[in-house]
Amino acid sequence: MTLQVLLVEDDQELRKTLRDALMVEGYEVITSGSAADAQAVLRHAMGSDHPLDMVILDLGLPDGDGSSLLHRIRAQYPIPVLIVSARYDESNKVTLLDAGADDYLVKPFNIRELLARMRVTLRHRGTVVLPPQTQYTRGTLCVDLTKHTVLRDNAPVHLTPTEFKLLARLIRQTGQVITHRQLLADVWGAEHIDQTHYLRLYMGQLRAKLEDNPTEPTMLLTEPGVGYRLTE
Amino acid sequence: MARMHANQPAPPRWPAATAWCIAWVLLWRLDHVLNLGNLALLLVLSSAIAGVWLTARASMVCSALSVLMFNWFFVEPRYTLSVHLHQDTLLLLTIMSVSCVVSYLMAQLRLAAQLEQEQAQRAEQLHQFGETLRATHAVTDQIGHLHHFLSSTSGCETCVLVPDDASHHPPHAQPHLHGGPPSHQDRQGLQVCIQRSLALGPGSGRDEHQPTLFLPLRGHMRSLGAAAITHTLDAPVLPQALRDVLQQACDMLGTEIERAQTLRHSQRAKDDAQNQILRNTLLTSISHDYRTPLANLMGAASTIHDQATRLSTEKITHLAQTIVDEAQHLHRMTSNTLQLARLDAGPMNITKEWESLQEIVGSVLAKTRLRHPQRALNCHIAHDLPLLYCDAILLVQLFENLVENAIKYSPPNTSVDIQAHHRDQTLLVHVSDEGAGIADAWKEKVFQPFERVHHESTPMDASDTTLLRRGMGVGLAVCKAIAKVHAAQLWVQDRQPHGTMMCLSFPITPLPTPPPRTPTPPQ
Repeated sequence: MTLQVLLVEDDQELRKTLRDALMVEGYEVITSGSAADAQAVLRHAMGSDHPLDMVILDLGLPDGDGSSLLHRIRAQYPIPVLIVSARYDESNKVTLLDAGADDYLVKPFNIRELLARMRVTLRHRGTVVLPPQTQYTRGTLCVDLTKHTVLRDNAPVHLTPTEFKLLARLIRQTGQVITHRQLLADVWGAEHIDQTHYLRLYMGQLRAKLEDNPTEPTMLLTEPGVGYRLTE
Repeated sequence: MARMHANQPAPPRWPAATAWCIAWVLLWRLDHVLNLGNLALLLVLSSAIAGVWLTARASMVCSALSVLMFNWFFVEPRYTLSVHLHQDTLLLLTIMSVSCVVSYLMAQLRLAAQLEQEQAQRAEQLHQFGETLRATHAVTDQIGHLHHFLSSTSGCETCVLVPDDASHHPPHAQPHLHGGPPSHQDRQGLQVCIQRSLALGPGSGRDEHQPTLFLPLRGHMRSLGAAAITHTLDAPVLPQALRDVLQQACDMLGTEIERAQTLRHSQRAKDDAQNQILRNTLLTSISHDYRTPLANLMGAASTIHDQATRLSTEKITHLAQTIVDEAQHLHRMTSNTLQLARLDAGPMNITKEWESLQEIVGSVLAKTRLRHPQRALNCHIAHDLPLLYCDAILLVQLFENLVENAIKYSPPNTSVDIQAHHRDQTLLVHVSDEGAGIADAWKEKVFQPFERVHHESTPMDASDTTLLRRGMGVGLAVCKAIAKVHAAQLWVQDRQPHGTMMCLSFPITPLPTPPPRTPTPPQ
């Protein structure tokens, strides 16, 4: 069965371009130009035999902020949401990610990037419920969370408990961006969500142990001003 | 504090009483020892001494009483009030006159002293009022202070009206009014007082029949408001000195309000001028720098649109690449222009966090490598760099611009180097290229928006010249603005043997608390 995507975007041209591009990739696309219309579509589609698999949501909508629509979607449906935003609302972006958006893209973006993000998002919150990821393999690195082992070039790498917790948290959502606040809350505890310097220091240590060139990491990627992303 | 006159303490009476007692004791003792004339001198002396402490009237009464008693007890025939006219009348008159004169002089002296004290007290009150005004910034509070000062100093009911500064507040703003709501008549009086910039009402020489005194809050040019002082029945006219003090206080507030207004106006004029410059900058930007990429976009897109059937797939892919490149170029220029506008517009919300320079430069490198896969980018970042307290998004933009410029202004087969290290309390970053370098005359100008460096002397092929002419426009201006909000320095140096080195130095802020360490290893 083809995957069905709701595209909420108020600019007609961009909506058309994106729809065509997604249809070429084999998605079934329903488009919507306003928050009210999107809600009606959601209500109808989520009750039908073929519910939506994903929402791509533009933040600047003519009849209301996309963020309020996100909150409503999150409260009602267990469906992945990919945010598309203009630049200069990074702080807003972080708020949305913390509020439950699955990922975000900054306009203008490449179609290739959009498709990649969609694939990641669908894998994590798709129609098929996957067992939580406990293993991560990339290049010469091999991590097994259940066995607590980290191997690089088949040699064990010693990680401190905090480093291991941080890595484990990233592995659980491989490919997706995780905000600073989420990482701090999950690894250090809710009372430390403002201590971003913990994160910088431990991420530096982790990169030094796992990356070939810590300055230009290939796995532990930085999303400036937002958070971190572990490459798939 | 009611009116100052009423509260003056009366001089003590006991020294006067003592003086009189001593005099009378001496008189009894020296009776029959000295003659009557000498005894009378004692009386004159004591009358003069007692006059120092007594009011003129009390002193006269005491003196008269003493003369009568002296007459009764000492003047022959004793125990009668009859006087030998030619002998003693003169004596009695002298005593009376001396005591009067002394009492009068003392009373004058006391009055002068009292006035002086009042003056000093008022000067002190005015001084304190001035200090209070200086310490208060909100106009409403300043008016409140004046209202309090006027009420407490005059002991009357007062009311201060400051009409709205139309240029400062929205048009529907209410005028500032302190004190009980004035009657219709008083409100009119206040308005007239502001318009005429003159005091009106009892004591002012104008509209004397009014029950209310109106004082203008005068500035240098006009009145900024007025105060109404409603007299109580027992004091229909305030004394001149008090009125002067009240007027001075009103003028102090008037000047203060005028000063604040002038400041606001000049700030607004400055802002307007700044906005005008910004608008011009944006217009220049659109007319110069946006047309070229737009023309290329238009060319490539319309070629595909009109001639697609006749073009090879290869050609179409090339044109599509041009469209993507030009769109990215436009995007970067738009981001820079917008960021410059935001940073220029004044203090903005910058979200500073503890950031690692390695991460920031890392993400810039990743993006740049995607855009320019053929260029060599060398990066040397010291491992022990301290964290920076900064806005990561802004710094990414800064380094992107520096690296992009370095790539743009150097030959394609050369490398671009990024180095970062720290020395003392400074974190230094260098972005250098092997291009033609920047002439000394341009080293400052490159940071101005829409200045472009021209290298007439450098031999270049056609495409390089085109690239050069299509500068970043605002790129380095944004870098400078971003550096400024981080208290960082940004400057240009020559690189040896040739090329440009952009240098950036950040002040290092000490970290708040080290992260908690977990001692035991996993497993």
